[in-house]
Amino acid sequence: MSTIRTSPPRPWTGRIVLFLLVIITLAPFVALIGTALQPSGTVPTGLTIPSPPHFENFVTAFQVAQLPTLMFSSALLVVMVVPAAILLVVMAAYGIVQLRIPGAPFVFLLFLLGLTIPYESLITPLYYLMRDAHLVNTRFAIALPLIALYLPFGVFWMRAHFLGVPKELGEAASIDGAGSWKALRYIHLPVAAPAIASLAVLFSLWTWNQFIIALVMMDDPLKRTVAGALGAFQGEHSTDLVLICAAAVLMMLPTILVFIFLQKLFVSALLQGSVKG
Amino acid sequence: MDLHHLVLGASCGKTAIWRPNARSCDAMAVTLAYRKSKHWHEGATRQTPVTVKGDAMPESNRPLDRYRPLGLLVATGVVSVLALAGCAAPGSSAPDSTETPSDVSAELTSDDVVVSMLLESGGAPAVKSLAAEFTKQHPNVTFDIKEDNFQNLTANAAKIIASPDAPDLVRYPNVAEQAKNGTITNLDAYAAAFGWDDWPQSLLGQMRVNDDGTRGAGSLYGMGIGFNVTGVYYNKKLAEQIGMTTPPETLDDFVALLDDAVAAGLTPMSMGNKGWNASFPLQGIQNQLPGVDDLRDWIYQVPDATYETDSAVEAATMLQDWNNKGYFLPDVNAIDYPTMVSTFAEGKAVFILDGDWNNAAYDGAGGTDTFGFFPFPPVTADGSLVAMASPSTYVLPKSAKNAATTAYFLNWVATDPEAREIVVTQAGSNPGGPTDLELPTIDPSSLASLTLPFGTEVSDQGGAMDFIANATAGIWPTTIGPNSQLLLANKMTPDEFVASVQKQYETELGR
Amino acid sequence: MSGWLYVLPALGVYAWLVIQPFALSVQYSFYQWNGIGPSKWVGFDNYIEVFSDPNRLGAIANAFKLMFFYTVLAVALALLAAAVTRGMTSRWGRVSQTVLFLPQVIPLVGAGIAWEWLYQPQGPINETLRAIGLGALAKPWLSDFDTALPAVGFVGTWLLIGLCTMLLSTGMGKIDSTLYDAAKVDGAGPVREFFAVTLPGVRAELTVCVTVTLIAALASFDVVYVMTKGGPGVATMVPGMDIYTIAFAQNRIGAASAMAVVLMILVLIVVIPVQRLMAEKR
Repeated sequence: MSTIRTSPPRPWTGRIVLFLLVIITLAPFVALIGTALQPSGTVPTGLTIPSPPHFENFVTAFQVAQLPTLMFSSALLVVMVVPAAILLVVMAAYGIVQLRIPGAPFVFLLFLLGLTIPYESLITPLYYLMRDAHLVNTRFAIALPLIALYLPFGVFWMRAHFLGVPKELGEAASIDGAGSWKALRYIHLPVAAPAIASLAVLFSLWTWNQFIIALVMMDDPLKRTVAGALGAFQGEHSTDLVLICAAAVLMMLPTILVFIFLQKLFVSALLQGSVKG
Repeated sequence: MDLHHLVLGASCGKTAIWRPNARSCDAMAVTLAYRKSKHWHEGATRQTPVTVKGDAMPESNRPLDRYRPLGLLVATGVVSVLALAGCAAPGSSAPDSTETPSDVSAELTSDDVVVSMLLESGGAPAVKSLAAEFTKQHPNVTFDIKEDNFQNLTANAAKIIASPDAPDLVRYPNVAEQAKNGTITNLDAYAAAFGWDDWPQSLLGQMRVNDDGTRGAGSLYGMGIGFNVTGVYYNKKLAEQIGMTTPPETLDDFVALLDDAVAAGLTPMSMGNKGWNASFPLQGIQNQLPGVDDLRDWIYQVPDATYETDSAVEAATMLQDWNNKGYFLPDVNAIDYPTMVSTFAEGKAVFILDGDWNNAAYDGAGGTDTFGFFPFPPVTADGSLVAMASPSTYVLPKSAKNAATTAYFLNWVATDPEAREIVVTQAGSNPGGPTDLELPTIDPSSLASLTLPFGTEVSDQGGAMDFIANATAGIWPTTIGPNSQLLLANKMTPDEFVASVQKQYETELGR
Repeated sequence: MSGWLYVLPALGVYAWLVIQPFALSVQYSFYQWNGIGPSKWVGFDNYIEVFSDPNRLGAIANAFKLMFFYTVLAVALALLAAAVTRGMTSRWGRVSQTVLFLPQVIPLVGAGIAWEWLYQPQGPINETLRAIGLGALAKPWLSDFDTALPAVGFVGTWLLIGLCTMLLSTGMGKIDSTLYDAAKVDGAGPVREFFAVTLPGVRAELTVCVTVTLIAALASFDVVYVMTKGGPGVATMVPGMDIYTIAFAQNRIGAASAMAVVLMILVLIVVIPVQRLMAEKR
């Protein structure tokens, strides 16, 4: 049976609140772009409309901020971190929930504890661990801790997903006598696709925008991440608010563009869900 | 049977599952719908939310029903502490010796050397020019330069200096702590070889550390690339407007001028405290009061030195008073350092208390045609000049591989005519070096033509004070900064402020 | 038992790079140590400092105040946004989902610069207030002792709405649409449908959201670091920023580690009841 889902009429109040939320969410971006287009070196006040808009600020900021180098560095980290983290997380959550390993509650609790540790409190020991492993000032010193630090959230999230999966899904596989690996590969993964997609997007963004770990593990600012560089840029051009805003816009642009480009895929996966009527 | 056959993927969404003895998917859906509707009629939906069949948590997956997490946690904690009791204490057992290197030569090597540096981005352009000029004169020496902003550098410098492959030269002001840790090079041998001990010592003293960890005398652990000085810059046109014909000679005269500016409806002093810059006027005042030597001792971490003095309370009282009288910018705690600098540069305030590192900004806004400069005035007209003045301090980590070449470079910066020119024009500061060297000629339209002679005068009189912000590594961001915001908002008394600074100082030094 | 093979790789990495450093932190917390030189065993002194220093306690209190913005406000708005956009076939639904998620997409430093500018005395918020004749309400939001913490908190709300909307939407996508059909057959309105079908259906995802936002409130660092450094005074000081300052500005690794351990225990005290409440699935 295939029912056609029709959207029931939504109350207007909800829509209005949603509209307001969208406006508030966009306000900082609008303010930033408005300021970035003012004449460089001036101190604009709140509501001045830039006339004429000074697009050359973006050119200046692009030249000064060494963006291509930094974006390559950020992208490299994403490639190092995200697939590995996803693989570890999906397997672990599958083992904890679907295969019901003995001691599952304890293992899950252990991961949950990790979720409660602020990064700042692990940084010093992590630095010494990485230094002893002779990894400091290599990208591995950023990637490995990040993979480990993402595990708690990932396991938490994938566990929530696996708990919500109809039991029949697992039962079917076990009745069939298929190995746990095949069941994961052919039955659970397709169902988990949206949850994994959400996770991959989050991990990628967190890595791309990672600041503190990159700052501590890497002496060379150009081998850190885009986010780390904006801080450095701010220090160097602190008197030029306009240029800082232009640089901030440029640094946000890549992720925003990629996200908008992928969101068709991504958001539609979310909105459709996996159990369609 | 192959698994692919199980996944039909049609009638029940993407993954219909074939099950032996199963109802059809349709039947399941109908059952669910029926159950739902029944619940609605009973109005019991909230109490018994219906979930998709099979959604219930298997018994073994209710972690927190069957296990007592807090008990577990305590157990884990106990186990780890017990395990740790067997571990060695963290850190090194004792600092390495602080012996100065032996057999040091004042000659530059003829080998090819790459000197690595870690700079603070604000001061980096000038140092990069110096490096380029050095390579031009000595092609066998090249530089590998990394730079970071002040905030990142303060967070990272200590561990970078301590690491086994540290750069040869690092911008770092807190020499006392690192000298105690034994992580930076004792430069005495180089000082002897290059004759640094014959240079004016009032500025080098700030980079000396005694065996007891006190700054101000003892072995040399750092070298300045340029020596900065602070004072009062004024806007000539606005000063004329309030009847200032000559710079004030006493603190009272200065306060009278600030009052005149308020009366004239002008902003007297461009001062904002979001970036904790109230420490400038605070120390500017305290430097002029009796007890300035105690303040210097306190900055230098002399044993038993205290900030809890009458002069500190008086200075804090005056600072609070100045703000209440409207001498500073409105919303003082909302204005950051760049804003206060640009406010003055744009001609929106009569005075600013600032350092010569900003000469370039003021030169760009009109130079000496528009702005003037005078020392922060003493209490009496014949009082000696005291000003915040300190080197841009650089240290050589213990593990630096090219210490000799780096020391040669530092000496060259202070003595080579080309280099001294670069320091003056690009960093706006005094190049230091021996007294018999002439200062480079300065364009009279540049504010450096006013600040530089004053810098020399202050150091000659022994009136150069390091910043209270540099007393310990954390005193400024943790106490002086935040509490000065409370002070200016009248949420803290001067006495409380002074006591809190001393308490933090003792905490950090473990006293 | 073969299930353990699936868990072991993750557990191994986790033990090496999270549990071990944490154990080291616990160890450091009993020492007075500057991170480089020799260390001195001081027993519970560092913990005594945490509970006796008004600044430490103030930071902890601020973290609890931030929960309102990070959790209550953000999760409520995200539930609403996810429910309203659920099943919207129009472009508008997708666009608003995308826009709400944007704050998660950008580097936080950038967001900090933007919000700092919005809150400035002469910034857009105050200028707007003046333009519509409410100039009396204009204030330096981030440096006013009464408004600084809410101002910072609201940035947290702004950041987290998108994350929660996404997580909750993922959960709503899993709800069997026959339940909605049944609800429609029953003539339930959108509100009743939400409470009867949607909310129970996203229980697990809601747990994740509430947990993650509570932790974000307690362990908040980035927003404060970028915007206020804990000021004015210590009005916006939070434990994460405090730990950072003690460790990196004061080089007191022991004291910072003790604060970190206390913070983690606090988080557990807050989060475990949430897990309990949410796990009550009967």
